[in-house]
Amino acid sequence: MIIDFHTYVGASMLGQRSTEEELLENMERNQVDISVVCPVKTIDPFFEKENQYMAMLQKKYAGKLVGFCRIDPNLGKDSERILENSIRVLGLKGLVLHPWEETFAINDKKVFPFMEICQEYHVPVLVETGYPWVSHCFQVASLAEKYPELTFIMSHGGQFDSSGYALTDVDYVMNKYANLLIETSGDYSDEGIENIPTRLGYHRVLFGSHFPWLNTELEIFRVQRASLPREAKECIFYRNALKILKI
Amino acid sequence: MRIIDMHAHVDVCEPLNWYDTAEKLIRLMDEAGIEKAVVSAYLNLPGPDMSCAGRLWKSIEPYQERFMMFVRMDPWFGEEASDFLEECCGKYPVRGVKLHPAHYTLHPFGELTVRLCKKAGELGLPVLFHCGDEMMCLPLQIGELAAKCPETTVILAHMGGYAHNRDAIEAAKKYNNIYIDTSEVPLVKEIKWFVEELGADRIFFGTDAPCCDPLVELKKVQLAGLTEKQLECVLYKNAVRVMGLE
Repeated sequence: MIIDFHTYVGASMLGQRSTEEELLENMERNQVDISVVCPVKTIDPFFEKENQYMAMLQKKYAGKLVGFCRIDPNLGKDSERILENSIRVLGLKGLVLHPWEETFAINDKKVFPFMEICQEYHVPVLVETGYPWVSHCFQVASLAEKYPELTFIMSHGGQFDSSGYALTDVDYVMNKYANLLIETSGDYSDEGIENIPTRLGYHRVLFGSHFPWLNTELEIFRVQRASLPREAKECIFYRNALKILKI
Repeated sequence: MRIIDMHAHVDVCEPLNWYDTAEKLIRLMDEAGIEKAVVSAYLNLPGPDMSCAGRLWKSIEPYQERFMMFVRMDPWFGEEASDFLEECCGKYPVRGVKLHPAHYTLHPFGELTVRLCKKAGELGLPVLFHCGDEMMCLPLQIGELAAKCPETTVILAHMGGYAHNRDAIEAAKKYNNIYIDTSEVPLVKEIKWFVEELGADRIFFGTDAPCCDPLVELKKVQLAGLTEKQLECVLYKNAVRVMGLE
């Protein structure tokens, strides 16, 4: 079984686009059973329509797609209302935050009210991580420290760093905060996908493809190739996601 | 098809917890069918550990037909760095220079780096730049260096990083002594974009192994939708031509 914890559907105003049919076809081709689907950035700064679209997809493809909502914390109370509505009324299962595209620091106090809401409804928070100015893993960790009851998933192994230097940072913060997890898309092989589960437990890593930006076949292969026991790979590919998504 | 890796590493660097021996790399190369790899260390020379060029050579000497040694350098040392490079070339079969500007904190287009890269060009050595999304490693900055050293082959690693691919293409279009390597970044369709924009003869296959898995890096290039001819150029023909291999 494979659960992909990080996909997008829609036409992003920043250029990338994918349709629900393309996502489903891609899942079929790569034998992905369930995908977490996130809204792309559009000209609607409140993400209301996109969140409704995620809820529609979740209903239409029940058991195959799990919808996350997205908000812009810069928009304060309006976004708080939208987040609460997305979880309580639309039934979306988590929150994705994109500090780079919405331009806010993940550990800014303006983010805190949204974490209170996620905590109240017990939904996980997926953070587009690895942008040193707004969502370096240390910044995500600073937020995770304040909300120990919340589960934070850092995308891309917690880093977007071709030097590899941020791997040490990811290892450090993962060791310190048990409510931090990483998602595997684009992660390094040995220091990321192999080291974290071996050192800190199989439950700390989730498979994600970052469709349509990255290639799902390659991202699956990245985990298959890791020198890890079968049990660890099962945790990464689906067991951890089942638990977090309460499936 | 032959496969030559233009970007890999051999070094043991305890402060970074990186334990990348020649044997570990050879195992991964064999698995992926890689015939030969460019290797450099993780520390700069001249620097706090002056033995690292000797250590690298000692590690790879038993498998010397599998490796091409690049010396990782620090241009801060000016004349001393140039002299050291020449001295290294006398002692070891040095095939190129590796520079990581974020490690030693110098602008790539500044006088010190230009001087060292010109020296490398005089010695017939290509210069592989760590190139990515960090200050002092940006493709357009390194492009200015390439303009000042037209006789030196300059390789931009990592396709310019995660967010600067467009800039890597722009720099390489402007200066024909620039080449690109595919290592580390998880980008697939972008490889085809680079080939379409620059031609397949400007792109090298690279892995950044052993931290990155060579089989994953190879699959990435194979998934990019290149023609057989383009794939041959990327996987080995360009390396054979530029490095003067058989």
